[in-house]
Amino acid sequence: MGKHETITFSNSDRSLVYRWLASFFTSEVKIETLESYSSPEGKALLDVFALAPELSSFTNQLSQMAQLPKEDYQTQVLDLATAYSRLFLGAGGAHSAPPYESAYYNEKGTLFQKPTADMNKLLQELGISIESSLKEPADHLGVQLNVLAEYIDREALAEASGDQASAHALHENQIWFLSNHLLNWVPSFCEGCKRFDPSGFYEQLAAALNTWLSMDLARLNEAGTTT
Amino acid sequence: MSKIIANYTSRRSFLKGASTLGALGVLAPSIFSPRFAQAAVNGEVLSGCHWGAFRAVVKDGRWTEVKPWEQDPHPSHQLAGVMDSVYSPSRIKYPMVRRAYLEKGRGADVEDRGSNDFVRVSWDKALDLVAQELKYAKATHGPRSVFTGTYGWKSAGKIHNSRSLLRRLINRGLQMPNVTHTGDYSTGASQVIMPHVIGTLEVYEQQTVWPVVVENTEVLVVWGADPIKTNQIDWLIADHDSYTYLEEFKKTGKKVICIDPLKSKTAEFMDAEWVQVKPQTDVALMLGMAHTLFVEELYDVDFMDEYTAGFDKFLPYLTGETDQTPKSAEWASEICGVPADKIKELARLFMGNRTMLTSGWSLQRQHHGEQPHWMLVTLASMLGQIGLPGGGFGLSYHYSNGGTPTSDGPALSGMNDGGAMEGSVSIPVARVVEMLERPGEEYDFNGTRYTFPDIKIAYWAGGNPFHHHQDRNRMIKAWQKLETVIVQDYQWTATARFADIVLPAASAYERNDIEAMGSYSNKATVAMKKIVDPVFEARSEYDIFVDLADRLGNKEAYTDGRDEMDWIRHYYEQAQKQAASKNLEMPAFEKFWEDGIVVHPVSQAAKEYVRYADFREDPLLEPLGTPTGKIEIYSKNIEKMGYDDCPPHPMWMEPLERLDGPDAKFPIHVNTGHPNDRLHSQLNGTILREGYAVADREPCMVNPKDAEARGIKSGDVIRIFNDRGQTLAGAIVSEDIMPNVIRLYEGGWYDPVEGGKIGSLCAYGDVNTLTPDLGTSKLAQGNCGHTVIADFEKFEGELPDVKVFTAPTNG
Repeated sequence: MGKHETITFSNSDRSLVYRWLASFFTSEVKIETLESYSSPEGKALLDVFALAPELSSFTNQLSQMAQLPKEDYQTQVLDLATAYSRLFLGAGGAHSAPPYESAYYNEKGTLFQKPTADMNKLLQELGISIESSLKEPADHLGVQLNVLAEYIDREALAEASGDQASAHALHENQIWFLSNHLLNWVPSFCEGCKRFDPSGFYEQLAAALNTWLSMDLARLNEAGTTT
Repeated sequence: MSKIIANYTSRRSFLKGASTLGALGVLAPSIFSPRFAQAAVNGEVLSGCHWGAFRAVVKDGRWTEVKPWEQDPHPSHQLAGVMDSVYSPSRIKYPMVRRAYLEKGRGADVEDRGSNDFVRVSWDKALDLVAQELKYAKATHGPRSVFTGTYGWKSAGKIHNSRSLLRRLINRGLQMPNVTHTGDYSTGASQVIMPHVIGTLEVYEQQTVWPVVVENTEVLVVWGADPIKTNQIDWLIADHDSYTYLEEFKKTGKKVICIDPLKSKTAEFMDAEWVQVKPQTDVALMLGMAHTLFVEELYDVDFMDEYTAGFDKFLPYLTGETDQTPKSAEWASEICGVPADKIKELARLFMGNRTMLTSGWSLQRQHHGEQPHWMLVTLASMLGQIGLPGGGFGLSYHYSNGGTPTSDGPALSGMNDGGAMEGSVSIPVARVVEMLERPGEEYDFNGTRYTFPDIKIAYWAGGNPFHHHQDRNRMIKAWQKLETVIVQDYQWTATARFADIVLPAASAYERNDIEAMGSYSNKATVAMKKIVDPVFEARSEYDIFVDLADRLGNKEAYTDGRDEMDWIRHYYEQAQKQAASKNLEMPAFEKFWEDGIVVHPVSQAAKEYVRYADFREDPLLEPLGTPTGKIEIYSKNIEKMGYDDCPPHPMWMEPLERLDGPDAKFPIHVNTGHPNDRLHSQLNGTILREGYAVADREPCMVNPKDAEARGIKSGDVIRIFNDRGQTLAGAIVSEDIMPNVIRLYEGGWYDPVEGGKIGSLCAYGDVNTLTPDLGTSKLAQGNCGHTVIADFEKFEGELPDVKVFTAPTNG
């Protein structure tokens, strides 16, 4: 497949991309993460993610990082962890980009607001809960991206079992979720990363995510309108 | 429909092949468990805090509404901020370690503290680090190398008392002599001088109760205090009962006089007469009144003879016999700015009426702060009304609703420090920076020479010295001496930002506890039930310290085998026994915990309590706790100390600096009073700020005359500066403050434009960038937070962001 060729995404691709993007928001990049991306399997993975134009500059950056000499990993990881703490964990004060929908729901950035309640309800409806090791509220970006992955997987399952009505509903759920729980705040979040990320890594990640979300919504709408 | 979906999903997977990679499980993990979430918690929980008792409405496990307890007569508007603080973006969410410290170890790049470079670590790692540092301190530096002064307004609660728990960790966990503090930032000078003068701390004693004042007091003087503002809070759980009495007093139409550089909330509420006095000159004003009473032969000679000692040694000073300067009303007027005729008029008014001289603590939070309350007691003695219903003086009507009648309820005890080891020491609380600067050197305190310990590690739990301590820039420098700083809090305070290891504590609303309501009234015993689970990885104070004690090998000694609920029950049942001995029945623990509160009865005698009535009735059988058993206007004990900055009788002494003082370097006094919309620095990070911030900064009140001279109008950002530091603030131009005085409340979060850099401009409005760090005198060594002059100007440069309160950018 050529670089500029139009590529298509199966649902399993899409849910993987969401879970993969989410992983950078739910925890810091670790030495083992970089090691994985320097392995043949990890490289191959990044190569295929890079086929999506909106993800390619981010995967390039990740590849470069993974290719650093192993002895530089520690410093690299600490640089990223420092940026992560400033942007996402509150160490940066107002110079941060809180990864919570609630933070953008009111001017002051108070957490655990209506979006958290909405997301809790949604998880309950889906019959799932956040792993106990992840101590984040349900409106955390990483959780939301995983919810989208969950919808996608369920659509594929419904499809596979011939339940077209459910598949359709799940397809619509994705459009609704992207519009009402992600694209309503991720652009602002992305702006925060752009302004305050001392590493550049999260700025690129957020930009990639933002573009990916828009493109994915467009693809979903496109698939819907060809009905 | 189905066809399209099928088309969509049946397209070739670009990840085909890659998706079989083992790496995916690691690099794109699912974070969900295939199970139902726990049943959501709903309901209403009664709890309490410094701002009062309240009911918390919980919906689906989230705290969504706060309602004052129905029996609170005057709920504080700050309760809204209490709820907001739990979900504030300024919560500390995870254990964090300063990056340089993590990479290079203790003492690394200490000048880097405050620059916000932190890395998250696991709880295990964080606790291992803390335990390792404590063991290192003990093994390498030995006794008195860890500072556990941890001053500050910790959350209410008898079990999760971070101050006691921390000392308990050093005493029982590490088993090493500790270094803690004596006194406090509130009453540092007064609580040391008053025992010499009148035999008790005075500042924390029950006052002549409000019902007696309402009935008997004819002239109520509020001197440098603002009870309407400050009684919103209590060290325990606020009862707010003083507001009812203030309203009753107002209804009587009797005279209220507020002596203050600014028009207080109380002056406004009481329709009081506002007497403008230049800051820090109260002693001169009092001397002028005393002189008037003396020369006009109005004062109560009999009272002075029978109940006081040493007036004869004070008189030559008052009359000017010793220094050729009579402390006349005219002399006083020159210093304090109150017209001489007014001074005389006030003296006669006080003498001719049943007068209650109530004073705040602002008077003593200044250089030579021992003198004002000593002089106030002297003045009250000359009026001869001490011990009479509604007369005399009171130093705690503005604090924790002092003067509200005390119930018959039992005292509720709480977590203790486990017993300090021999060799433990304490320092006067506000000398903490000097302690870091001068290890091993001597200092004076209340008649004794002591030696400053050599501190290597400071552990702060539930306090914010980077708000309450004076002279921020000097402090930042001194802090660099510390090898390791550990801070345990629930908010990213400035102190947390200057730490090496930061531990996220649960708020008082995320754990169970028990507390009394009313420091003076002991109105009720309150169950502080957990409202919601701790957010993120926050853990309760007790759990954190128990795990540390465990790592130090002394868990059993630390816990006495009790967990949180065991302790709550333990202290409740102790109180219950005490109540039984007074024939007072309290419900069984289970019933109490279910009801959430036990209100105690108040006796008729308590409603008629008059301070010093016993002493007045029989000074021989009920002597005061002073050497003479009388009110000491001259103290032989203080005379023996021979201090050049604290003479043996009250005196007017020039402070380090003051408005219009000799050689004053700046033209403006900065009033650093208590805020109306938060508790010191607490709740500054909440929605309450929206109600008072000006141009996103801490508001600063400026007289129109001073504003005009500088081309400033309300809403402008101003820069306030002196030779110690500088800060921005937002101007409010108002006639409610006298000329040449500006007011910037204490408690604004320090927000250096260049984090960690000494001399940096504070973007938000921390007044302690401007204040001096010196002891009131060798006697008390209290802080001098009100001794500050400065200048200000309209800020014209590029305006720096306020970034200390975590908030989203919203693009």
